[in-house]
Amino acid sequence: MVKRLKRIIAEYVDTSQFPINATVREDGVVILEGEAPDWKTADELAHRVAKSKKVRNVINHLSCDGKSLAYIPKKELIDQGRALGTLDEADVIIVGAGVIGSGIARELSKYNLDIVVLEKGDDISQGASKANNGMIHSGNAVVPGTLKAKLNVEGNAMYSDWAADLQFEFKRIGSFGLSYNKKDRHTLWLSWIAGRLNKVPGMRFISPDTFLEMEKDVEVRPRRVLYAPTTAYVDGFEVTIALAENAAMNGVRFHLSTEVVDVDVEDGVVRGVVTDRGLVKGRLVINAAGVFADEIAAMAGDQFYTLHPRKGVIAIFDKEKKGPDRSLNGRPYVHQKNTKGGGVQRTVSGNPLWGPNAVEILDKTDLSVQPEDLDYVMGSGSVVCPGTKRSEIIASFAGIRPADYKEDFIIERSRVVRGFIHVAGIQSPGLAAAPAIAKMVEELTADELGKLSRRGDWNPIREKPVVFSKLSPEEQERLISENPLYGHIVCRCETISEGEIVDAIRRPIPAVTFDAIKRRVRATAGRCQGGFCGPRILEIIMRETGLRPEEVRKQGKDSYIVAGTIRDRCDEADCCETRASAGVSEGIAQETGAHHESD
Amino acid sequence: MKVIETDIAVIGAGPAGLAAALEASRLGKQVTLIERSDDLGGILQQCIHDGFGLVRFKKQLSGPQYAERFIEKLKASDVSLLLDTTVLSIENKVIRAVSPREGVLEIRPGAIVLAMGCRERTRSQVEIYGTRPSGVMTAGTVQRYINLEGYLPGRRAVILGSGDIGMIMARRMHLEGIEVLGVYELMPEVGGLARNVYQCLIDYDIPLHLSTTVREVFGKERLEGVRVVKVDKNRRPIEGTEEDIACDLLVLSVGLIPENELSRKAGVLISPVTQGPVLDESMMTSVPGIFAAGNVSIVFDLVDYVSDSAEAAARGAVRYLDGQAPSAEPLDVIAGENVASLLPTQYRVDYVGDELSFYLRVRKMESNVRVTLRQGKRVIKSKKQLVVRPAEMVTLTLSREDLTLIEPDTPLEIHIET
Amino acid sequence: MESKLICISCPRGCELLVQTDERTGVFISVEGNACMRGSSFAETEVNHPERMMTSVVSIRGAKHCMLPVISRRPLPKGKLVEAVRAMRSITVEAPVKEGDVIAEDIAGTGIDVIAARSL
Repeated sequence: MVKRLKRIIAEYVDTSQFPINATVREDGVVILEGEAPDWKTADELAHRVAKSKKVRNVINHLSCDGKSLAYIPKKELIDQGRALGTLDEADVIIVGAGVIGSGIARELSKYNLDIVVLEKGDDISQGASKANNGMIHSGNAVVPGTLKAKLNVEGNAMYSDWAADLQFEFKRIGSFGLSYNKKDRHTLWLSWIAGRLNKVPGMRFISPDTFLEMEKDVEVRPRRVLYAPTTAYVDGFEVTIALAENAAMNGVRFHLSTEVVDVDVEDGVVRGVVTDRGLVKGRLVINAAGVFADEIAAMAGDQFYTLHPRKGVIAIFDKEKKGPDRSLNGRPYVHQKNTKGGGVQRTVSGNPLWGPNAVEILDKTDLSVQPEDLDYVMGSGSVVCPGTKRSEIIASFAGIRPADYKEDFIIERSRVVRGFIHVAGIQSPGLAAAPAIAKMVEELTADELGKLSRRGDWNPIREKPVVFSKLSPEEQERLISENPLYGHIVCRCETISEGEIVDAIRRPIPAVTFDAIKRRVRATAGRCQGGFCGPRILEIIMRETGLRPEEVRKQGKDSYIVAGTIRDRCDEADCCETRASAGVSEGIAQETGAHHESD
Repeated sequence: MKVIETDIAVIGAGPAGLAAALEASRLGKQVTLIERSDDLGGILQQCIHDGFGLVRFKKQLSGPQYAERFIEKLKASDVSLLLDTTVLSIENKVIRAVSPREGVLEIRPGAIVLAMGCRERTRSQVEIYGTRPSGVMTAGTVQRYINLEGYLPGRRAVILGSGDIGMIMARRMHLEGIEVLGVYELMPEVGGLARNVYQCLIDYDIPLHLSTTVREVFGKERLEGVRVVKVDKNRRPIEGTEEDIACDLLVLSVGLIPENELSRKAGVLISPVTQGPVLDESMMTSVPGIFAAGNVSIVFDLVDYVSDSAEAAARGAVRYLDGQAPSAEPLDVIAGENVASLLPTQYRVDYVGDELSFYLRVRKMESNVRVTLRQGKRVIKSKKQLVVRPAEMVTLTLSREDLTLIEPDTPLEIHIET
Repeated sequence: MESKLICISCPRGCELLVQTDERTGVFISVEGNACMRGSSFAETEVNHPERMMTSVVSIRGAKHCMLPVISRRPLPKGKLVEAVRAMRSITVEAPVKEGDVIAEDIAGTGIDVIAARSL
């Protein structure tokens, strides 16, 4: 096999200039080392090596300009964590509070298990779970026979139950694959075949006229239309928060801003993890750390894959903009490799969403948006919505897909240590597959821990938070009379009341940063991008949490909103505007009323 | 649900709303003034700098002082005030609003004056790439943080856009000890008034860079720096001119647009010229009985004109209620040579007011021009103007006598003639 | 000597061409002004430039934390930074009426600072 690998490498890279070393482990894992001319080459090479059926997976330690994806232990944090002593103890430790970690936590909360979720971000859903297109794929865009394909189709079907129990926004309205000419008809046939092999329910060709009838805003007439009625749309963050809240309601403990920096293994058995905030002891570690899962695996001494960050940029438009309601895929342009292509669709909130593109990068935290990203997104979207200008984009953001070189999900018990489950490489369609992944991990957990006993008091229902603007006047009236904060509109673009923001701060997973509040209630996500409501949200967070102004964050520990004060600020309870509203919530409306009139 | 019947409902108690409410009340109508916050005066309360009121009061007042003059009068009037009350919708001229104390309100007025002001353009409306850290704010938000809340928004600031608020905040930040590294302007000329370049930038040696823009921001959590780049005459970046500047605050002063959220809900037509509602000579929108005042109608340069336009809207609303509203087919008023935006965009020949002011903004600076209102080949009114600049509004006021020259058939045109 | 100024007396912003004494720097004449305010501005600006001071001070017991203030008359330009600095240590109690004196004789200029609004 080594010979073959050498040939593959030599075919692609000038090895006289860039000596690249490939070693084959006993378990069939190939490790690539050396200096590559650039990251694109390094990445492509690892993909080519991974193509061989005999290769279990690839660890890519190739470097470019001194940078690589090799795991480097954070010694200082490890020492710091060990010195701090025990933070928590549990049966199951889930690393990562994305849709996968939260979904597993909620699934396992049915059992008599003590569960903690450790998340290094200051909110849940910080990685790919928040920065995706919210599509619940039908399953006709994944390679038949893969784990991805199986879990995609299964997960899609399970979403109806999730949506009913967890009460997140869910629209099962289908999607379309389109072909415009003879050349791209081929691609459409491939997805039809994949759909048939993957047993995608209801998928069929429909006439272009039927299609144009269903999508009235579309003007360009396709030649062929493949319709997948089971495709659905959600907000990835909302699904994750609903899962996490339901898990928390059922006793799961979430530790945010808590980074796992080492895994304690004794005699081949997992004993717990080291975090920057202390030790967490446990019998089973479930590695759902998104794009960092390869590093967690390395900490446990069982790395057999590298996760290579693949950035995707998404552009969001104003709700008023015309465009199709369902995802349209397949356009007369050259597809980028390894992406579902990125389409034109609408978010569950009604904003047109274009993208994403796909770019291999070396920095797992690089969420910057570059002109060429938007060039691609605009170029692909404009085929369906001609004449769209870049200035119409109201927000653009990047997400990172956690891809391995086999480009399939890795969900299995460790073959090296006991008490460790890998849930890695969960890139698209990971959101769609999430319910099936949670189920599969539930079974693996039983394999690890023995038979699990069910709790009698498990409650699968997570009630939807109040969305004031969607209520009838009568319901609004009733709500305000119970809690006057609902009558104080803080965000004018999205009509969000102070009551909803306070709710978000007080829910099972408290939202105490600007971005955490934005993702739960959409405040600062509207047209003014927080220009108007930002100062008010700052006051509300301070009042509810007791934080000082400079301690309030957007997202991340250095993301202060204001750097301090220019004058002394009064802090009597009856003093300033928003503090007065707090008085309202405590039932002293009469006094504040008088206060207003005296002004 | 409480129902309130009133002659005229004014939405927004900033300079426009205050002036409209007072004028309508003076003319004997029962007025309900609805304000979202618990304070009167709107944005004026955070505009603590001086320079307001020269036209109206022959004085250089600060924003709060200008507001105070109206607030005092309002307190002495019989205008009913609904503070802390947010309008959610306007349907068939019925307003639905909420407040913490009153719950859901239904206000049924005979006429409505929209006076919600304008909003700032944001990062998403200018082409800036890179990350999304904290520390990128509009000039108005920075102004609010400093002047109303007493916060320090950052320590090292770069300003993008040379609008008036941007320059005024450059001075304000400098005086509060924030290091202001420079003002960057995409266009080859300054966006705000010349006097603000002089008294806000030159006074404090704050550099102004024209034909230069912020292309990219850095920083994963808080802003760590920006990349500025010079642009050519087509506003495209010139390669090789990039410069990275370390800063923790990027202040955007990149323009204002009329607040249209409620106008849209009310079903009024939006003009592509003003980006506010289509308005006739009485400041009436395309929905009979709904009027617009102040920066909802067009973004004014001076608050004095905001007050004037609001009084005109109030008079229009009163005439509407009294059954004296003009009913002729409206003539279009067309933005001609070097006219970027104008108010009103429609005129009805049976208008009965004493005089009528046209407000316009130009696209480019020109000297020794004539501002001319034409109907076909006929000149209705023309005046000489030494210089016109995009930052400054041009007014053309027609007397009753001038107005009688307008015929009921042909569209009107306004041109800046050289 | 000839120098250029921009008049700040009104939004028009006239460009002023000012003649001053070569030796003493004292104002001689001005052109470019559209009105009388321009000529008096030019003379003041050359001989002893002055600016209005606007700032905020802390207030207690009101619905806002900050009270806007303004100098009753323009201050010598050189005193402006000192005057704004002096605002940092002032705290007033509500209620305050517009025009109430907040600080007397600011930065030794003999000019008072007054409240710009009632609060």
